[in-house]
Amino acid sequence: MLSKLLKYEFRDTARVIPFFYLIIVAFSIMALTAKQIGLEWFIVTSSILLIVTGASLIVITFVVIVMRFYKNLYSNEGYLMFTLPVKPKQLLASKAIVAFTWIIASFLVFIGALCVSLYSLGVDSSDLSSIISEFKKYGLEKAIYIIIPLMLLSILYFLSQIFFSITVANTPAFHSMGVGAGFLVFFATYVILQIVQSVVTVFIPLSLEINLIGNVSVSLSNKNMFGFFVESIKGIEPTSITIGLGGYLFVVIMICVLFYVTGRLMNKKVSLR
Amino acid sequence: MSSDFSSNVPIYLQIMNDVKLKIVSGVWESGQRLQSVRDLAVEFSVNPNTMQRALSELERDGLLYTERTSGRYVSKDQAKISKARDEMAEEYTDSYFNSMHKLGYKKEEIVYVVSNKMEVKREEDKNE
Amino acid sequence: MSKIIEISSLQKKYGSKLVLNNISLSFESGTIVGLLGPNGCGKTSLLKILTGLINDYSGSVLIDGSIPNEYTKSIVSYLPEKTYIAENNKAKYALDFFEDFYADFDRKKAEEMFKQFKLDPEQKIKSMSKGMQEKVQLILVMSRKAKIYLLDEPLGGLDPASRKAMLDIILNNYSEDAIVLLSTHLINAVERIFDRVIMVGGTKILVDDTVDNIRQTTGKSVEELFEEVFKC
Repeated sequence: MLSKLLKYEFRDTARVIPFFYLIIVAFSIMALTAKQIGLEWFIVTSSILLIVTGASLIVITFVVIVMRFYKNLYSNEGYLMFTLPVKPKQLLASKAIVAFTWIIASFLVFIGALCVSLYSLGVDSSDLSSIISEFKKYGLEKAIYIIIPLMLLSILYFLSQIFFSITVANTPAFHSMGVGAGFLVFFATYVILQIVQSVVTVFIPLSLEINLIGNVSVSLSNKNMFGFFVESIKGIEPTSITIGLGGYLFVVIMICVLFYVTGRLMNKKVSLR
Repeated sequence: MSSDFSSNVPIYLQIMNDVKLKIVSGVWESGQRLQSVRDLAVEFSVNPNTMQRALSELERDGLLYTERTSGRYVSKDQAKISKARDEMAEEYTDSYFNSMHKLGYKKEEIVYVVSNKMEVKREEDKNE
Repeated sequence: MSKIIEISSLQKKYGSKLVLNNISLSFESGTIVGLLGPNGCGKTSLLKILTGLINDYSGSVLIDGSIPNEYTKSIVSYLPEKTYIAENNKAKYALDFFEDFYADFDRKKAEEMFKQFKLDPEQKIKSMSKGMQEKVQLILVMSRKAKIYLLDEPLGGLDPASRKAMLDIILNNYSEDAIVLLSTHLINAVERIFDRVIMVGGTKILVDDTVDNIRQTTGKSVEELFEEVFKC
């Protein structure tokens, strides 16, 4: 059943987004042609267009996902979706998987657009390799192993909050609030989670310690970030930088919690108008 | 076909009447095989269980019979059909007579009205 | 005939508002039941609970021995009052969809009925009139060989000729193994296809009897009884 849900989910969302991919391809061709011709203003214009479109693509993808989630589950179509012989959590899973896929794709397309525009602006592979070796000097190329999972996690986190908010806004308790309820719930959820996350990051004794003396090395420690802040304020020269990891743990836990609660709400509490 | 049912008589009775009419007037011929209950239900636009009940009652009255393997048939018993026809005619006559009586018509006047009507009908048929 | 639906001590509240108070009902296969009552809460909530759209109630609801879940949804064919298929798509899309998700969907039958009612599968739903949309949905729902059909106001925006055609579809799909629960306010047009009618009013069942019995004992048609029971 899940595969069937995925099939239709992709089919229905593949109407708007690929259209923008084509626009980006068009602009890419424009930019590359411009580079061949050597027309300065043309190159700059198309590069800017590429980057702007690429960034908007990400925003548009999110908008499509939000509207799809709301329309397919909580408008009239919900009468069909929630009477299908599937568990509500399968509905949620199919939407999360498809949404995640589209967002990753949009990011990749954006990066692609960025590369094309940089290339047409004159940045070439030699510049790129020198940047990479700079990173390697400081041992920072390992950062990519942290940044990518972090980005994926953030996307999932953001999605879970969106789905959670829309679902909560459609429980009977919130019916009287109308369409604005979704935005309000999301805003409240986002703010509260950020606050809690910050507190957790600072006070939980689990952090990444970056040693500044001698070789720059990174290790796990059980100091908490609060101590680091206190010392900085006191004016003591830092021998190391402590970055709290509690926050990331919190994010992982909250992703699970949010999806689980959303699934439960869809099962029990959601009431279609 | 769907007749408009009067509101306070059970539907199955009204169906029985409609079917009986078809039988006694020969629209459904003696010995003719009936459609399935479901098809008849659709034709009369009624619940199949209601149809079934009406047909069962008519079977009890002897106007229909069931052959276990092949279905339901209109009775071959001409005497029974004639009798049913007479009974229906009697009902109609009673009803007509009572209505005319209520209007104040006397027996001779009623006879006159009826024979006159028959004359008119005969003329119409001739002119067709 | 076994009891395909068993409801006992069902209670449903919206906040503090009670819409169904301690309702107990059971249904057998091979019947067509009318669910009548004023628009709004009780009748609609009862249907939604049976479809699994509302899970927040107290009491026991068993469909083919199971609480409403994905199994019961696979044997219940539901027609809501609204247009619930995606309107931006062609009618053909809905055929694919139903065929994919419901093992008991008879696509050929649906396509034949489409032809019969001059509905074009290649036409987009949103470009169809309300009457056509209702026909499409009724055809989709009745083309499933389900055990339970829940039809919420299936005759709403239709002209008398289309209504007759709809009733024919329902009657044609009658099966000893299935039950049709039909909710309507057009009692006059539909009364004759019911075995049994249930009138839900206030928060209770006010009438639960066979049509012929009602006529025999009260001397009234179901519609007349309804008007009496619900006189404003």
